[in-house]
Amino acid sequence: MTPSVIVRPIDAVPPAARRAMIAVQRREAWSAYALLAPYLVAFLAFMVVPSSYGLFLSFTDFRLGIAHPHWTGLSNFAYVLTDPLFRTTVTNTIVFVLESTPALIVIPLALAVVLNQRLPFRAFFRGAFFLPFTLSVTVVSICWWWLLDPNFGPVYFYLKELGLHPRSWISTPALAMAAVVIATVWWTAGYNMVLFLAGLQEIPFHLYEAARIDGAGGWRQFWTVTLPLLRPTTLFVIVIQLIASFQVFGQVYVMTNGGPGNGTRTVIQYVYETAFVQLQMSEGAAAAWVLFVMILAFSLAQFKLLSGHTEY
Amino acid sequence: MPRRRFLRIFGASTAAVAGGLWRTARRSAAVPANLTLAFWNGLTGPDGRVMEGIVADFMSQHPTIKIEQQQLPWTDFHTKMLMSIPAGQAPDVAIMHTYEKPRYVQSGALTEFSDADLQALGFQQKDFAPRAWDGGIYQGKRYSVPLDIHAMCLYINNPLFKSANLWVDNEPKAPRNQAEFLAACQALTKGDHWGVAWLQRGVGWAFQMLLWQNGGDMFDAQGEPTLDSPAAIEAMQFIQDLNKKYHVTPEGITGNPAEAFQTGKIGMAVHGDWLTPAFVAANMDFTVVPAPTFFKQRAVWAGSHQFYLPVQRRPDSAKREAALVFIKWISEHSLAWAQGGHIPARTALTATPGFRARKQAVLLTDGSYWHFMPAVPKILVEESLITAAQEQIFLGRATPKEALRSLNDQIKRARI
Amino acid sequence: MAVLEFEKAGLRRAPARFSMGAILAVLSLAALAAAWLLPLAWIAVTSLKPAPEIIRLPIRWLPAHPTAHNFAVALTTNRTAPISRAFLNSTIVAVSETLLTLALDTMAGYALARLEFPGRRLAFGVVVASIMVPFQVTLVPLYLMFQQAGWLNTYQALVLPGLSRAFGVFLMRQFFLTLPRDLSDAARIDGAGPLTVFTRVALPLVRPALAALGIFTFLRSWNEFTWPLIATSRNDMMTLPVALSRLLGSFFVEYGIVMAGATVAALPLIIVFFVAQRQIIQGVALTGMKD
Repeated sequence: MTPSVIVRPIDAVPPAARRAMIAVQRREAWSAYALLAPYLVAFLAFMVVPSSYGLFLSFTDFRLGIAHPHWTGLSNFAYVLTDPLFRTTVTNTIVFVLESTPALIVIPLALAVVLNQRLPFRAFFRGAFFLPFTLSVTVVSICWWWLLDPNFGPVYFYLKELGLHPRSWISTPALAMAAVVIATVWWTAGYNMVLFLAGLQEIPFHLYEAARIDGAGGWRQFWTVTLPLLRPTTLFVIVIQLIASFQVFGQVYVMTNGGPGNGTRTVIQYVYETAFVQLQMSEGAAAAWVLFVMILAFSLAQFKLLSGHTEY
Repeated sequence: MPRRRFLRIFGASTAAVAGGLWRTARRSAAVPANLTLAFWNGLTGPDGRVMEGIVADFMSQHPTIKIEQQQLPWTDFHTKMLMSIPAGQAPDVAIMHTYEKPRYVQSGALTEFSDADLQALGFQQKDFAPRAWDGGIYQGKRYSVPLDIHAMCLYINNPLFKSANLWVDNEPKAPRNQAEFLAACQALTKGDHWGVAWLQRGVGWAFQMLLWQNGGDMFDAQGEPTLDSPAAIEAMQFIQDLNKKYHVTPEGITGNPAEAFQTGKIGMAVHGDWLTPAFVAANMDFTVVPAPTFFKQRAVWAGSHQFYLPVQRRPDSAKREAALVFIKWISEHSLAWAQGGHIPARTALTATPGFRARKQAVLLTDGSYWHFMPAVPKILVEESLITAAQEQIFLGRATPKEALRSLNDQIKRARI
Repeated sequence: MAVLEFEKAGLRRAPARFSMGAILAVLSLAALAAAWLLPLAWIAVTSLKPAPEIIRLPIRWLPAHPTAHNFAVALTTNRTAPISRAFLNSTIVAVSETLLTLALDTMAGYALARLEFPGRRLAFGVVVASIMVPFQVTLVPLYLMFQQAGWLNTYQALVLPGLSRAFGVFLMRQFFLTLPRDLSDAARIDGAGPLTVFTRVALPLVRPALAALGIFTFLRSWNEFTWPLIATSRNDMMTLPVALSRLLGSFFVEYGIVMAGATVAALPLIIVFFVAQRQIIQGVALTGMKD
């Protein structure tokens, strides 16, 4: 017997059962709140409250030990934005991003493509390239700082044996930045490689077969099958890579401490030093928010530009 | 012996012994059982090693007091201090210099040494070098007590001086002014040897000395920087000329002062006396002489290490007492501290043959020319920024005038 | 739910033929891998050399007179943060943070994925939006908050802030969404409450995701640098990355000691990695997969 009117499921339920249903819903909601609460507490306490407090601070003249900070409007932002040192750190950070990101896309991708094939010792190679990612930023920095030591390190030693006389990277800003970039690439290439490998695994084998049957060689297969289908992964890697690069701090701090002559000082180091060395905490908070706005603007622009179609 | 008399003597001596024991017991009770003192300082150079040994000696003689020493590079040290003290995590005793007082007092970070404290220490004005003693006072209050005086000097590599014919009567012919200095540099620079490694990695103390010798000042009466004065630019230009014009220093930024001189390829080094233990340990053949007068008036960069007792959130009188015991002991043993290359602040010790035999003893002759760093709040800002400014100059990225002007502006902008 | 399975993938391909190309590939990979690991070898070798050997030219790779002195100093120095103590601190912090993150994020992820409640969309939106916020904006305020609470130089200060990260919640939610509903529906019909369904039915099914999140969190927490640098001023509370940077600052030209510290810091995770390589890489791959 087909119903002649649409009956809502809830209407078809007798009142007693309806009360039971509402009780079930309420129980579900309370369970949800119970499960969500611990994380929300942490989220509010260590993310929402500090961010808001930091934003508030950046509009005041707060100093350690001062009981009552005063509202100073945009003064701290003006201080940061007109600070030549801040501008230098922004430039350095952008240089770092531009130098490290392509290397951290191309090299891991190349490694992933090669390692995606059935080769002996594949697992060992995969492990070798990923290994640096398990190290802390200090170990990585010390590694490369020592490896590149102009007096006693192998790199300079062998280059000198070859008759070259490279300038000391400690006293040359461009080389110092290059050293930091090399250390960073060595550190995180393995991680991106694993992400690419996972993406490559998703590509159905029959597409390669089809391309091969159509006469496409290895290189052609890469362009027509691999790259397009890898797009979601590539976009993901690019986005997280860029955001992470903007926040570079540890390896610069340990390897060059921002030198020589402010040549590698990055924005995070500026925030750190303004707030925790010069103890100008409200200016430091303002600088952190300026950085946030920069990253946000950049990410939004990126989404617009690269989103496009992600069809499979 | 008649029994009664024996009993009397026995009783009296027992009472005397018991009384003595009683007094001793009371005195030991005054030193609290088993506490730990946090001791922070910035002695990260070769002198820091000497301090480690001294602290170990103290602990072996005072089993109830444990010292936890923490050494940080000076800029980090000041940061951690100025952050830890308001947070109630201050160390119990610290070593700094004399010039930090305005900044620290501004933050309410230091406690005063009362007359009772000085009595417990047994410190009296007459026992100490005047500069060191007076250096502990700021705005009429005593915030620190002296340990030593250290000064800038000229290190001379003896073998290189000999081979450059700068040797007279079993002594190096030490340059005393700019002309002699340049002449010596040029005589020493040949092959892969250099006249001088101007030790750029640091806080530009040598530059300060040249500035004062040129009649300039780092800060004015209002505590604002004057680092872009003509005198300053001229001083910095001279340092740069050593490399660019006279070619008597190696290219690029010297990484580490001790290392550069220790390679044995550098004829002279202008730096503080605290490098002496490193060169001694490396068995170098070197001489310490007073620094030359590069410009119109003689001035020698100098400083004084002083003991401070930071403000504690929960003042602990037992710990403060133990800290005073610690300070007193170190001060009395500051002849051992002289191994670190410094000059003890106690005048009696500097007169002893034990000190006179030390290489840095010759620096006592400069006593009337010692010029301490200025005690202004912004001095710490200058210390944290000068290295980058100097590096800009030596990298050729800025002229001395440009770099000093932007350094000056940076310090002015700092809202301390 | 896709899982990285190299062996299965391999079987799908053509049978292995060790062609000229393959041999060439393996050889170049071997050379590259060796070069890749060279920096680590160099610091390990340096840590065994006495000081005069380290600064002697020409470069020699193997120590002529290996010594344990550098390790002794690095592990026990009281001049700066001793590596042994920092190691303990890092372990405590990383383990705590990992366990707490797993607990909090799994519960929150399940609630957002599988339960209906008012405000669900808002909660999820806010959490996702926070991924955009770089943690640096919280550095200064967190420092001040912990200072007020008297919690500087404590384990809480090192462990708690990281619990606010949304990444784990996002990841777990994704995983719960991919679970088939039949099992949970069946359990519901049998009268199980939502919490029981969570613990008895859903949780066991997301083990790979738990492993992935756990590994990722552990690595991140272990290697955290900036916040511990700010939150600790006492040597005995520093974590490994910070202590190592202090070691470098303190023993600047005593390369052997610095390298010994770095070797000790690197070794444990390298060993763990060799033992559990497959799980670790699978876990990391999972964190990047968008289902």
